Amino acid sequence: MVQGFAADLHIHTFLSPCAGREMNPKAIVGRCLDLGLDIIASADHNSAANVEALAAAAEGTGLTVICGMEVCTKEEVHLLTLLPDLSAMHEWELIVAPHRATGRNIPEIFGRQWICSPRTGDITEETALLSAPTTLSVDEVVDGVDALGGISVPCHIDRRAFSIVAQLGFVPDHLDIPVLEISRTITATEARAKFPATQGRVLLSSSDAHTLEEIGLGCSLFWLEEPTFAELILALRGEAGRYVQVE
Amino acid sequence: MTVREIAAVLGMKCVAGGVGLDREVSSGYVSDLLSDVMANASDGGIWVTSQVHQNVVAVALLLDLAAVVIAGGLEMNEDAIARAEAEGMPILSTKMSAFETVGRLYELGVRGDS
Repeated sequence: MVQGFAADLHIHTFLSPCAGREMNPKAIVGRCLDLGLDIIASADHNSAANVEALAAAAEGTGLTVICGMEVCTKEEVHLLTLLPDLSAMHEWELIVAPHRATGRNIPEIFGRQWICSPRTGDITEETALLSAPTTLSVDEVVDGVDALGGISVPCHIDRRAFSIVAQLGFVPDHLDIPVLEISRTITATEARAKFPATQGRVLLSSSDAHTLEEIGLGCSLFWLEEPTFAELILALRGEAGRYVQVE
Repeated sequence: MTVREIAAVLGMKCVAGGVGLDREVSSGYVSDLLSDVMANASDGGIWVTSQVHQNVVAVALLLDLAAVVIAGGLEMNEDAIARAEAEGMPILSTKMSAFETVGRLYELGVRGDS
């Protein structure tokens, strides 16, 4: 029997240069538990270096952490890529890393990028340029993630910046894109009225949190038998009686 | 001016849709936001962009543009080239930047719809 799980699948850790410095994995997990969230996903730009630390911080708490990365494609479209487990995410990161922009991060301009060790909690600085688009196309990301058993979700389609609808005009038919993310500033009803691309697709609302206060401001209720990735995928595809409920 | 004349004068290479080269160009537009192009470009226009996704071809067909110019020496995706070829939508490629390309088009008398 399905039951409801509150999910926020778009949270930035302090690895994202634009995120608050308080966004360390332990603090994020603490805030999510306070809010009563059941499932979260990390969504750092072009890197999944803090996914393991986030999963480690959530261990034993009852909070489910999904492996995620927000990839910026060469068309400057943001895609939330969700992978089944740490090993698939590691493989995905090996594919993405060589396609990152060359050059190093300039902390004074873009912000700092911190990696938290899952074992010791030690913090090191990521020097790669994570804030720039990769050289991967939308098609390459969707197909690459599909091949690893994951799913790609176009982010904040209602915004002007980095939205697949704004950048590409519409969602290409040939791609496996069953679900679209809307930002917390728009309701599902408004999004469905405004964007034809929503027709026949599941909608997902997430916070895109860059600070602790923003976590959960956008969230979705997942109706699943248990909070696993396999069940989550069914809901994101609207299959087998699993579904996503958005305000 | 036709697309063919423009390509010849500015040294642009036609990478797909050669059958459409004799179309007259009635105006010009430059943007990399496809939603913006869909809202503002006009039929018969020539569109300068650095987007190389196959949606570029779809938008050009939707608006019945005369041609698309891929600026900055960027290579268009293969599926996009195949689609443009199949639909006869001329895709011109140039090493010039979008800025330079638009300037040269303006010199040739191409104007935006104001």
